[in-house]
Amino acid sequence: MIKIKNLEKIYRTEDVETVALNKLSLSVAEGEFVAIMGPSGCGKSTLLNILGLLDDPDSGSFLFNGIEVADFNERKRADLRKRNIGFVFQSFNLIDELTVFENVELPLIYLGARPSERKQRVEEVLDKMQIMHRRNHYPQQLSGGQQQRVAVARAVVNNPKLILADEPTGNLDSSNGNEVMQMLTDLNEQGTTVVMVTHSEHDARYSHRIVRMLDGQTVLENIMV
Amino acid sequence: MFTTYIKLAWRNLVKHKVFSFINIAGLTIGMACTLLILVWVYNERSWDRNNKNYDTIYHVMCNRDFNGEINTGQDMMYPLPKAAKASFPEIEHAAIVSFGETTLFRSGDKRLNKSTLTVSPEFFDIFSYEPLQGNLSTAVKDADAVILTESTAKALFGNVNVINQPVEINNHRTAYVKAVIKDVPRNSTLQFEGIIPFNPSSPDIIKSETEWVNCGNRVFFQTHSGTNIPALASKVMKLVQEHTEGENPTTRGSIVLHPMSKWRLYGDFSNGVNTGGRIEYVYLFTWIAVIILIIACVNFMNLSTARSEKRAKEVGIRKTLGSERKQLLYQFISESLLLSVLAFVLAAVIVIALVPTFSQLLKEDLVIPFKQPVTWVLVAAMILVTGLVAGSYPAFYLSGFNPIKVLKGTFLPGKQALLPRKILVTFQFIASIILISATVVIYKQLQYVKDRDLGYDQDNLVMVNSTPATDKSFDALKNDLLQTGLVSSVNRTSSPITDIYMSTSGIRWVGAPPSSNLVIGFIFTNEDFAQTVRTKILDGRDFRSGDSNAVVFNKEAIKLMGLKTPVGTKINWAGKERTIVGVLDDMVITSPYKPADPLMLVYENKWSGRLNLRLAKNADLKNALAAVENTYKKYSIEYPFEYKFIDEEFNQKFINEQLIGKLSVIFAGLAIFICCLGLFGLVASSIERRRKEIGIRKVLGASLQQLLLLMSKEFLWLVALAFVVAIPIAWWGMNKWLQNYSYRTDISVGVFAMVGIVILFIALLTVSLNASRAALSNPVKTLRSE
Repeated sequence: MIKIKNLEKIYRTEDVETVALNKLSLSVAEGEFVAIMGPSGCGKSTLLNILGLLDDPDSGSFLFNGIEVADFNERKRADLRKRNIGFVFQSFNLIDELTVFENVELPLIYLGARPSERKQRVEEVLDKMQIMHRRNHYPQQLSGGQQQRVAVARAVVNNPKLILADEPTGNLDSSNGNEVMQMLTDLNEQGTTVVMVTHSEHDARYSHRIVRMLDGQTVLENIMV
Repeated sequence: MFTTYIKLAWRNLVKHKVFSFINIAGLTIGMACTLLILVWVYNERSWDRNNKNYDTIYHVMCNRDFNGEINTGQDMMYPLPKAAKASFPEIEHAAIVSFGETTLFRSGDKRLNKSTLTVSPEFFDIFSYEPLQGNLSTAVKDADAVILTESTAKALFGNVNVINQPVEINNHRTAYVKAVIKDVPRNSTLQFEGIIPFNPSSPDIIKSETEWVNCGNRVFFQTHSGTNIPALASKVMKLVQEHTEGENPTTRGSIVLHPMSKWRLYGDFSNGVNTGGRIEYVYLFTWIAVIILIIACVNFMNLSTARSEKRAKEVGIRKTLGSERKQLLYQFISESLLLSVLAFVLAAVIVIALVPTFSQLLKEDLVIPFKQPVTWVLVAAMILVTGLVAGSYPAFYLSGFNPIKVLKGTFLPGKQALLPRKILVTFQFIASIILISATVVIYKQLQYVKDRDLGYDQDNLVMVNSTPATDKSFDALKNDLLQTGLVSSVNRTSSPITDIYMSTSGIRWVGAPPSSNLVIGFIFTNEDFAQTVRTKILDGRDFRSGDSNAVVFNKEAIKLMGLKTPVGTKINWAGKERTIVGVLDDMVITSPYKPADPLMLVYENKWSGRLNLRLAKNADLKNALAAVENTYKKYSIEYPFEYKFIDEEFNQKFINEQLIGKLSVIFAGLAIFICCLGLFGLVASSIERRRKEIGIRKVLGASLQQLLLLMSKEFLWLVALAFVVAIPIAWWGMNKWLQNYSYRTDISVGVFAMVGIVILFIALLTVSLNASRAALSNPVKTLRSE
């Protein structure tokens, strides 16, 4: 599904040049659950941003489902993103002014789905995430675990092929954290590819493969058995 | 999608109440100001449009050449309309109309002084009035007819069904009501409460039919459409010359056909050229409306971008979920359009509520033209333009956020993000400082002119209409008035001493230059003139009883005549030799903005006009007026007693300046208020950005004053910069405005210093209000949240 080769990303300020990704190569097969680990500043988030088409590399190749996307413009990236990728963030990133239902509905609006279809789909997902009873609440009225469940619901509502999770349990206690990890695992078992950045060895153990990064490069891969 | 945008916009409004209030308040005030000004402009432009012949009616005026100086006058000769219509087929109708007079109407016990016009029959063919009773075209041909307006008819008879009812006119003849018309609209140049037809068989009118030199009435033409107006004006001039023997200022001049569409707004003539008039105020306030609306839009931009930190996360999430920048642009523009609609609705409510008060302030009957399609087009345009202008910059700014940075929480708009906002606030302050400076200069000029030494004393000087009865018993009346002890001096003049109705170029004296064509205003008066109006006698004496051949000139007239020893000089005027008995100081009578007019006072006992009464110094006004009324009624029971204080009458001359003064104060005040809202928003966002810095500084021992200074400094610099840019513009504009007045104040440095201090104080107050909150907050909280 994902094939990147010699990916380079350098951040420049007036005096300093920081190499975030240093000729990094990585493949993720369809249906895989990959955890990316490494110390702060090793380039994990940069990699995830590029995988999520939120950022573009300075050089290298990025094939998404066999299509070269490294040189896509913003409009094309946005289109590919909304059809194929779901995001789960550490800080949930729900819109405070929208209800649970409306937050989850948002990706479908951008996809141009009809209202009746949106309603049906959102309700299905909320039900599955066991958060239906909170559909009319605003994010601040929910606990951290509930907010992350809403975020996961939002990530999967348009049936993405790929879910990118950036430290999804970072703001949760262990019980809520486990719950979220179980959700990701379930989704993966249903066929969704998951790429997760994490600091937690415990969470990483839910994945099929752990990619360890250092200074913008992959240094080690552990296949989980 | 759109409903989602609107829903979200609404929730944002409700959630951030203070921000929403400030934003909507600014926009509402801006829109309300603009709407009020537009209503006023619309009303100014609607004058006289009720006439169906609006496009083809012309006021015939004359540029008269007085020794090289051209004066545009309305007074024309009686036979002109008839002769012009007979000679020039392009004239469809022509009418002669008096300048307007006060006529005493009596019906039974009811006696009312009403303003009337005396007109020739074609008056109603040219002008449109709505008849309620009778037939206007037959009524106006009847020399015994009187045509009343609805209000006059009701005041005299209690109703409008009064055809053929007798009305006594000026106590000397009876006329019959032959028609009643609806009241003349307030936005009509020709104002009257009754119409009296000229009597073609009266000896005076028969004599006037051949009088081509003396001019005492107005002439109006209605032409066929497509008429070449300049060519017609030349032909009319030739007609006048053909009928006039010899040369006079009229025959040396030219005819001006002033179209009805220009009567209200283009009434000023300078050296024979139509130079403008109230249109300058219309332009001025239209510009002020645009500036205020721009200030309000800028405010909106500023406050919206200032709050960007709060919206950044939302932008990031939406982009992550697949929103394109275009969609975000639509979203933010939709929000600003929603705010624009909300602000407009509020502004419209405010305007509808304020129009009566505003009308009172302007002494006009302002009407909101709800039925005009153009109103609704303008409304839609205003909402749309405001929404788009105000929403465009924030929309581009917000939609451009990088989702990675905002979602990681590393996004914090740097100092450079504040720069456009600073530029916008500076621009707002430039506009406000210009408006405030203009207001101060307008007020200074008004005060300067009001404080001008008029050459006579207006205090306790009262004017009462004289009547045939008071003229007949003038000495007895005067004696009785003085006997009351409440009146110290009494005199009579042919015109109010706030105006000169007549002028002459026919004064002759030995030693006058042969080509002298001096034009001097004159007033008929009698004894005790100088004593009553309290003007200085520079040479000779005041009039005395029985001074039948005496004249008195003012200093300016004597200067123009070039007389070295005026007192005792004989002059010949109006077929009679007269002696100059005194020279008076110059009195400012007509325009308070111009040098004093040359004036001749002629002793004349037969001329009825105004009684001037100087009330005793310490007299109680109420008692004095009651005593005057009693005495007046003793001699003139058939006339209503009406009085005017000379100072109040004179103040009418400042009405335009007072109007723009009042409007400038209101609009400049509101403009600066909106600016302060903008500044408040900018300071709030800057403080948000510097919260941690403030906390650290506090922990390190900074005092409240030091923190306030730190936070105020960068904004006060903006105000100072705005001041430096605005002052030359304000000085240039106001200097140009002052050139309209020969008697004018100067723009001193003090004016701008005062404006500077006021602006700085207001800005400092706005900044401090916000900054002190941050400076007083507990640093532990801000640092912990970091």
